[in-house]
Amino acid sequence: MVENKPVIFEISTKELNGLVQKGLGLTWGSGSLYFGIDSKTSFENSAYKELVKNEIFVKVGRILANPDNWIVQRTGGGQTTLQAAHIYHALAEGDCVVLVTLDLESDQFIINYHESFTSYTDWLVEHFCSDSKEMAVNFMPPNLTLSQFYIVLHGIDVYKRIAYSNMLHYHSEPVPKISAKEFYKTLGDSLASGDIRWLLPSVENLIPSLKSVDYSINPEDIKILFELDFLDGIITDEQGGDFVLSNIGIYNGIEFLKHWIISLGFEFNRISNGVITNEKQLYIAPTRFTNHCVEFEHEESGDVLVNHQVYTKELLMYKFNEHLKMSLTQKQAETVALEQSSDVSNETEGKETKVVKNYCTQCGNALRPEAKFCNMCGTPIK
Amino acid sequence: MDRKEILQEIFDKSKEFDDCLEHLQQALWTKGLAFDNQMTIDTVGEENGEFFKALEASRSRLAMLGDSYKELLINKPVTRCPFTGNVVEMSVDMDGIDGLWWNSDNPIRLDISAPKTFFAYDGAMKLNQSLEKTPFTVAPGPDSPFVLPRLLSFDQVKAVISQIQVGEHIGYLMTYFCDPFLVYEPRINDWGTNRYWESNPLPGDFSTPGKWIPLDPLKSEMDFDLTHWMQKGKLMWIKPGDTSLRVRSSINSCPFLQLEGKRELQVIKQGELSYNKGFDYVYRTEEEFEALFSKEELNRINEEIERGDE
Repeated sequence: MVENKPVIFEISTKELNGLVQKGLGLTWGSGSLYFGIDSKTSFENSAYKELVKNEIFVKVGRILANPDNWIVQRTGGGQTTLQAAHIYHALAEGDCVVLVTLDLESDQFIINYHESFTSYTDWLVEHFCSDSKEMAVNFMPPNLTLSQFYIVLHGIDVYKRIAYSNMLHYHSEPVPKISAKEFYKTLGDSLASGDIRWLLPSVENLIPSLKSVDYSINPEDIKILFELDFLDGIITDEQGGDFVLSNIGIYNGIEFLKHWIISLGFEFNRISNGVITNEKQLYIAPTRFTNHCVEFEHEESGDVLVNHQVYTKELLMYKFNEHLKMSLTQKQAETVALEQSSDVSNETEGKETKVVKNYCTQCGNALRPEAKFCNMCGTPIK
Repeated sequence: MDRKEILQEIFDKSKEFDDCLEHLQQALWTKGLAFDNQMTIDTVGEENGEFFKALEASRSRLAMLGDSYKELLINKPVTRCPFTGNVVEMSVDMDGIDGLWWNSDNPIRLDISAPKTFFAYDGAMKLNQSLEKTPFTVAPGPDSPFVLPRLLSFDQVKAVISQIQVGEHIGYLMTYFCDPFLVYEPRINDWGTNRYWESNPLPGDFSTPGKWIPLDPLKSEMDFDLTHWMQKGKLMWIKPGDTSLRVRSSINSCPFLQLEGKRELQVIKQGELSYNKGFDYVYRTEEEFEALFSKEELNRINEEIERGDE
């Protein structure tokens, strides 16, 4: 349940510019919604005139006009189409964030004001992410290069390709396999396609800034699929051989063929002295089993290392809040982690998760949720 | 001096030190006194002066040799954090368990280089038949790898198993990582030692954090069924010999599963292996229990139980 529901404003795309500039007397700064857009500055709709007296809307206007942080959130993949939302935050306005989406049908900006970024995280996770409470296996450990990561994603997509091909040809293959030649060809096709119904192209289309990374797919990186046991082996023939999917390859393939809910791409931008810097990119792919979360770590050398983790709903909320807190408050990772670890026991006390802990009223010992008595002093837990 | 020479002199000096100490303790006991480290040559008495000087000389030389040994230690990459991908470096003495790194009571080790997510480390060791002779106790854990469900039951904790060759023996390093950091939960003794450094407050602990804590793993809290934890996504592993330290999750090719062994806590001193039974209750099935004793012994035990003997 979302406890802190956002305050929603629906403003015509034709009116917002005038409403903010003329009604609120603000000018659009760099990174703002209208920055650089030459638009008329009057607002005619009398229905909006009351808004300039609305305290929350005035705050929203200040954040939209001069944000310090701007996050682009794109959703799509699975069975859904590409949608974008923009999240704005201003240091002077505290923890609150403003999420803006464009509703093409009504030609309106839908503006969601969240009193704190944690309320936005709650909303986000409740709406888009997996409800999983159990930990899942992370078959794709951290420190993959971008080339290795893309090959693994294509390896997952390959199962879908084989399944669809079999279906089209009324054929059933006991051992799913793909020729090496086809694997590499479709890898290039997939990346170039921009088709977010497939896992691999969804990444760069939900996070377009990744397209500017200087990398190339190294065919040698196919080894990673063997190292991680996604491929069982290679059946060689005159054509160059077939890659055979292992149980793990099939498991991951089925997860993303049948249980992939949606994907979310985030680009965290910091605005300072009129300069917009891309600080971080996150990709989240929730399935019915777990929440796959990918962080792209840019090395000084220009290389990108990919850190993939799987999270329960509770852990995803924690980690997403950590990312937000780090970006929005512009604090160092360690400071945020320290603050978060002390917050987590206080904020979420009483919920059924191992992250959250209850404490013995007698001796202060940390208790597991299922504890019937304290394992330190024996005090019964009611 | 090389490692072998340093260790040989340490072992010789340790014996000299122990002999002098024993003499002084006995000599003072006859006077109704107990020897302690605060005593001086005047307080131990003129007749014991020679032993006292020898004791001090041994102590000083041992300290120097300990420093020389420490200088030989190097932090090497041994495992990787499954959350951050950062490498963990430890100074494990891989030349043999006769190194002071393995001295259970007073180990000499370098500070571990690890990310903030590093929580604890324990280990196991498959011993070769020929054991190094050491004047100190070596406690390398059981002979096959295990995990601690107490720690893994927290959602934010994961463990990684890696393999380290220690002389002729095969060491299994079990490292625990957490993200977010786990607070108010005791860790576990560092591998091969009888204590760990707790940098965080523990429940009911009102003193300033930062102290040594003894916390031996109980046999009953060790779980040797690693498959179960891998399937839950809580345990990962590094392939032996993989210098890239790639963290893996697949059970298909994991070499650490179903390793046979006695699974008892091993203790080695002077090259002799014994097992630390501890005070832990071990549940055995009737069949397992019968296999441990002959029929005559079982009858005798039953009779003793009926008589109420301890």
